[in-house]
Amino acid sequence: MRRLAKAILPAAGLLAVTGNLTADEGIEFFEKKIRPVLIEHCYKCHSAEAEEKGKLKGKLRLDLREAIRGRGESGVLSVVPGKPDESNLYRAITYLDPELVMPPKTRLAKGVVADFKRWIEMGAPDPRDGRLAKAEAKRIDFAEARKFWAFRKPSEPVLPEVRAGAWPREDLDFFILAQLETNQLKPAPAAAKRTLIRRATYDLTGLPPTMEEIADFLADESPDAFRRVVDRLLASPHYGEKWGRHWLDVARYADSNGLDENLAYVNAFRYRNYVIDAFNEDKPYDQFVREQIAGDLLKPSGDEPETARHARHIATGFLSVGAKMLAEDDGRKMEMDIIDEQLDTLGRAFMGMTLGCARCHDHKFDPIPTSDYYALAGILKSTHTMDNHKVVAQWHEIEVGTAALRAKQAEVDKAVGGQKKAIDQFKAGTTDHVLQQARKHAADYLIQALIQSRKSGQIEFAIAQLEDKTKRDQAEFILIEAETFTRGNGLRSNENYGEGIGILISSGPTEVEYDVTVAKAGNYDLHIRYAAQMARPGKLRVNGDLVNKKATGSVTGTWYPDSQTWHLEGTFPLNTGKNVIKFSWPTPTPHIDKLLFMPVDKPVHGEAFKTTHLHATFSKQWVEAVKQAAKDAKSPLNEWRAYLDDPLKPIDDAEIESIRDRFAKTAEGDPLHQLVHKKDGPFKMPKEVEKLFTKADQDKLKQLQAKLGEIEKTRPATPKAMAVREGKVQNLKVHLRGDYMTQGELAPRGYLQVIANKNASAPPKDGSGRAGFAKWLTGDNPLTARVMANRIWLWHFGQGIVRTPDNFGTLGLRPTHPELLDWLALRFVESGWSVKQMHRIIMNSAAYRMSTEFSEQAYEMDPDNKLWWRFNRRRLQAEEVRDSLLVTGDSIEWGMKDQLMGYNPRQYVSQNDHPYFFGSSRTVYLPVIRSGTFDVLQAFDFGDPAVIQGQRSSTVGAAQALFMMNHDLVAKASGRLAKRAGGNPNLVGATHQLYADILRREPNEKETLRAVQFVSQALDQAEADPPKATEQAWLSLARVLFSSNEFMFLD
Amino acid sequence: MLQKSSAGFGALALASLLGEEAMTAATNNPLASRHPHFPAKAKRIIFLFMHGGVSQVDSFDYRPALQRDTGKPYPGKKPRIVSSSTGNLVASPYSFKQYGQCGQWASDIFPHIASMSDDLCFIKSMYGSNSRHGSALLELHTGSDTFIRPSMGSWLNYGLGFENQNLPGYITFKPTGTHGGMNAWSSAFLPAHYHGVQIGTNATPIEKAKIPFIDRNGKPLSSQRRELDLLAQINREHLSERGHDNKLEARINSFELAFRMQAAAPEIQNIDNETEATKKLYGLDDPKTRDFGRQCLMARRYSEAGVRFVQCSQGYWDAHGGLKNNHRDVAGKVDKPIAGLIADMKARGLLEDTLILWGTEFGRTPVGQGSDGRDHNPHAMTFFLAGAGVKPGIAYGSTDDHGYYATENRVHFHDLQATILHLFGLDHKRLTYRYAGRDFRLTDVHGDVVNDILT
Repeated sequence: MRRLAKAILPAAGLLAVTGNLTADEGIEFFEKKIRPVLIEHCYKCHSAEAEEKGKLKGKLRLDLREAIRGRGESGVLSVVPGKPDESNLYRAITYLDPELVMPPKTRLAKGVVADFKRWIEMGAPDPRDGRLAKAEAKRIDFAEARKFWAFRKPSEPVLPEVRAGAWPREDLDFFILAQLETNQLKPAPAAAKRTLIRRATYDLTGLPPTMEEIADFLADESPDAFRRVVDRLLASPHYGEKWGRHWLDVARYADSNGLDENLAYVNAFRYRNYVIDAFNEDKPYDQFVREQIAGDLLKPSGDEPETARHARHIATGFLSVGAKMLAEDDGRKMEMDIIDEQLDTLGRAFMGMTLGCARCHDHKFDPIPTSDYYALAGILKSTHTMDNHKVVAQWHEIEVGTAALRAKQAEVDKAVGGQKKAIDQFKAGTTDHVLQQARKHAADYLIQALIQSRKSGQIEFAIAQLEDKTKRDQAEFILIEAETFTRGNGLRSNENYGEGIGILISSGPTEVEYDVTVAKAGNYDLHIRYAAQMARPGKLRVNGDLVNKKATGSVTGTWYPDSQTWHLEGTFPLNTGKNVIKFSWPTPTPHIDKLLFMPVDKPVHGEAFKTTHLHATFSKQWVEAVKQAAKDAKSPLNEWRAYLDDPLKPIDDAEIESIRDRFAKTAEGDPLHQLVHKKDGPFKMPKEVEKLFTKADQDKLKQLQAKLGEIEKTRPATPKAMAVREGKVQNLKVHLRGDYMTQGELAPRGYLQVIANKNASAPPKDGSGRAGFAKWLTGDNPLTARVMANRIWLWHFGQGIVRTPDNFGTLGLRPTHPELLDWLALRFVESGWSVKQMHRIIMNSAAYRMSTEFSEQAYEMDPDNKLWWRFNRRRLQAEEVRDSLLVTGDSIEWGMKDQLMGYNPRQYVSQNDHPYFFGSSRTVYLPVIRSGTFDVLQAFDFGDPAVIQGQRSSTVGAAQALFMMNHDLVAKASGRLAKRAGGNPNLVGATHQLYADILRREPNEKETLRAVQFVSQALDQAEADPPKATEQAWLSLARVLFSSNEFMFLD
Repeated sequence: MLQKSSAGFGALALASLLGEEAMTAATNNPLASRHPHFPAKAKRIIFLFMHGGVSQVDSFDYRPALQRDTGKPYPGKKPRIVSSSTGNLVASPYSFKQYGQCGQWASDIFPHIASMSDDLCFIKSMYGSNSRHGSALLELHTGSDTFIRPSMGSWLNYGLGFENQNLPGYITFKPTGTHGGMNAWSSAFLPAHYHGVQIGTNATPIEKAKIPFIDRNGKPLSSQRRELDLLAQINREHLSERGHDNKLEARINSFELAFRMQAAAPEIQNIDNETEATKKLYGLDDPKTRDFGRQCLMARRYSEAGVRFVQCSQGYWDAHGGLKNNHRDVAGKVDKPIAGLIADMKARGLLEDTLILWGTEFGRTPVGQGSDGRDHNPHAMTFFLAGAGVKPGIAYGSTDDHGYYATENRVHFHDLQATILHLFGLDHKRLTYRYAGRDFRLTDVHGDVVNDILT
């Protein structure tokens, strides 16, 4: 029926398919069975009414014939008359595809679904006439959009007129002062010098000033004293550690992945250190931006060292260090999510644009259509960030070894080669010797093999004898059914594993004993028949003597009877009369069928035959050779066939001598001689030739190998870095609602349309377009310089001129001082994008040098200090808290660190009890474990390192108070100071020292008195051990000072 | 012992020093108790999180067709995105029977919980979007399987403030550090006060699990008091030299709060005054149930003290193989304690305004992985609720005949989240927070309140 329908046009199909149904009947079917269902279950979201209310889902209406036969947002036809399988609506209501189920909450009854199928097969008769209004695509008016302040180019502002003309120190002060004056406010008085140096030192280095630095500054009365302080701080390596960390907040830097599978990013630190270096070197910011996006694509300068090229490539770690879902089953989703994360970070970090909002629909507030999002996404899609998108996905890393390193590696490789050669030579020589010796004993190997090979024949013979009682005296052989043990905790089984044979079996550790009566004392072989899928060795004792520690230890195949085989488990003397054979297994027993005792006396073979001079490896190969000889008529070993054919034919001393003779006389050309000298014959050397070496030779080899290991250890590993490279160049289509399953129009790679930058060239066909994007960002782009100038201001003043530093869009806040921001942005570019120059300008300003003094009048008018009537007091940041605690007790370990984690690459990490958190390097070098950040950082608003953070929160709360009261870090820092103070009998002197250490100032008289009282009171109350009590008292005082607001806040 | 009222706490503004984007809730004290959008049924919630993925078809979603068709291929379509490849249908190894007046089905590994069926509201048509532990776990806790977003407990406290000012508003016992770890109880971009306070890791014995830094490490209380008195004096002087400053003042008071919390929390964690009968009820007398039992008992005690969101966690249900033993074993650890918690809460009248939620990050496939395992399945899972504002003794929604997909009255994580907020008097569409240029919600752009399960 369906095939018919396909062949016919829908309109005609109605008649053809339904046969006896008329058109009217079709309509009747619709009215009765379909329309009521559509009204009840679908119209709420898919009708004109829903559209009016703004509740239309998927841009799909189902209340008109034209609409129901059209395409919604998905681009797939809802109803194809005659073809239910091609109709999206039908697919949805069948509930067979979990990604497309309608109605969303509850499946329609099966009968109703069948009605829809029938209706579509009928040709979907539908009387609902009417036309859909042509949907007017909402187009963004870019000309209009470009008038928004952030998209206009910064323009050189005229310095405003001010009344208090003496106040400004820098041009920027005019902008601040003018607005204050407009609002009848006055700037706060200048900060005291002591306050200023503390503020500046923390601002630029994240550390407190030393007492000497403070004294020097206080003593320096020259007008440029503070400039010199700033220059000194900018030259300090600690500057990059502070300001690099600011940038790392923006770059959402961490040393682990953090989302679902939290894997160690052991090489992320190279990006971190690159950032610190970049700030210390005052790398021009435009270059810094370009390197982080496309460092691998930038042209090298003439004679730069290799490390410079590496550094640029390491910079692209910016794109790579974000948090990712590495265990997403949907690889395509994973890839788009990673791209989204990169875009979102790029957009906010460099442009203050929330690009992520345009992933699913045109940006609701900013002029960013989805086509722009996918134009940029195409650039990242064409960039190789991940080596794969499988579970658990692998990010890309590059090698960053230097020429010197490669030379060292080559040197080591050469030494390794030499040592390996020496080892090979030694092995070859020793092997030759082993072989020569072995060949001398070829006859003995053969004799041993013959004896061994006859065993199974002998067993068969013995059993035949036992069965045929007429033939021979039974007493010579003793056959015991294993399940007939005399004593013990074994079990018997005649089913399943024991079917047809009867076996000994057990369910746990087992001991069994057999009483064996022997007529004639002598040496006996014990053969045991068993089946074992796993090795289950046990101890075998004969009359109390341990004769085999690992009896019944062979693996025969399965546990079933068809795997039952015989194994020789020991040769030992038995006494005349009763003997006790005891087995003990730590596990259950193998499945044992029989035990067979056979005398090993003459005449079976020579008594004198010894085998201690033979190698087990060769012995096995000779047994194999004897076995093969049976199948090969030409084998020289067939000379001795008779011994196998009659397993009881004696191999006595005379026979042994004759065989030895035969071998001694063999010469070249003799097949026997060939066999003995063949490389793959019975004297084939095993792979591990050293097994055959003497103990002394083995030791010598071990020494040689140990030395090899030592040499190999000196080979430096090739350092790696997280970075991106160019991938397969491709353009993306717009993903409707962000879903790659529903794609719209092609969005050729490009940049934001709202920013027309004439200097930027479109992405090329043979490259991702990252290079162009980086150029577009740092060329004639109104956002880039403004966004960074605002960040620099914010990191000095605690608030930006735009107080939403990561959002310069419509929903972001407007600049409080737009001219000032433009002025700063222009100076920034003018200075060659020098961040350090911006510090000099800003810190030299009167605005920066204001005190935090409170003013009732100003506070009432402007509580948030948007006009900058004073400087903002700020709490120390997390790193500053820890670094200050460490530095105060002189226990900080200076210097740049590499990776402090003990993890292997991609090792799983979790929780926050990592030992390296307790090291003493500066906090910036402590690994940042996503979802397990160090507790100090967590408590003091380090924030979530999975997302960009242009401005940290700065809270105060009980967790921080508990931290100061009880954390080890505070106790240790206090303890170090207390030890010193406790040793000082002069309480006043000790108090001065403590204040100097913690608060970097001298206490006043009142404070001194109070401290001395506090300590002596504690001493009075102490019951015993005065020295300890003294130290405790000082420790208490130190903790109080560390906990004080004076320590924790910067004025 | 506990200062429940927020009187006199006005000065204790644990001030957010954030920029404009931060606080939209216009209040000086972000922790102060706030009015909901409309009258609330629930004031507190205890979330019992089963980590690893509990199989619905082996617990509460009895599917006779599955038992019948074992060994046959699944007749419908398997999902396009799967975590591993699977085989044919595999019947549950457990036996099922009906319990209570309501006739709720349950397998024999949950006898205690099943016996409480008349108090429980089962949702058998839960579903999520992602088939991996990390993503699914985050979606359940935060509404997003892709991005870092604030968790449910953070949203509730952001919306309503703290009930007890001496304790955190959101605590989570022994959460897993894997599969997103902290992100499951993170306040993300919400102010940091709403971050969940972790009590122990999944490896910490429950007796040793504590609020971070709360331990005085042997310092005598008296000497600490002396320190705090001196500190307050020094800080007051510092403040008076500087005039008005909310932050400085808030910090001065934060030490007093910390001092009180230090007294309050151990008192809650000390269960000496619980009767033997109560301890037994939670299974504290049995090594198998002792750990989770104590989590449940602490959950009751913290909840009683006014902690708005308490979470207990138990892994690890991830039975790709050996399901029969795994589910029986893990169920054995939680069954009695959970039933005990519900019974105890009911007896104390606490269920009136406390919601209990039992759930997992995803269900499992009715088709097998090997002969005794099941793969992840976000398309169907069973949750249950009890207490404040939910209908007792009902089962809502269902799956297809074999339990692979939720088909009737489907409830997505977002729908459940919307419903929970609703029970707390919050409209999930109005509880928003502006960040990075967007107004964010727990339910993103989705979620419908499941009115049918509400009283």
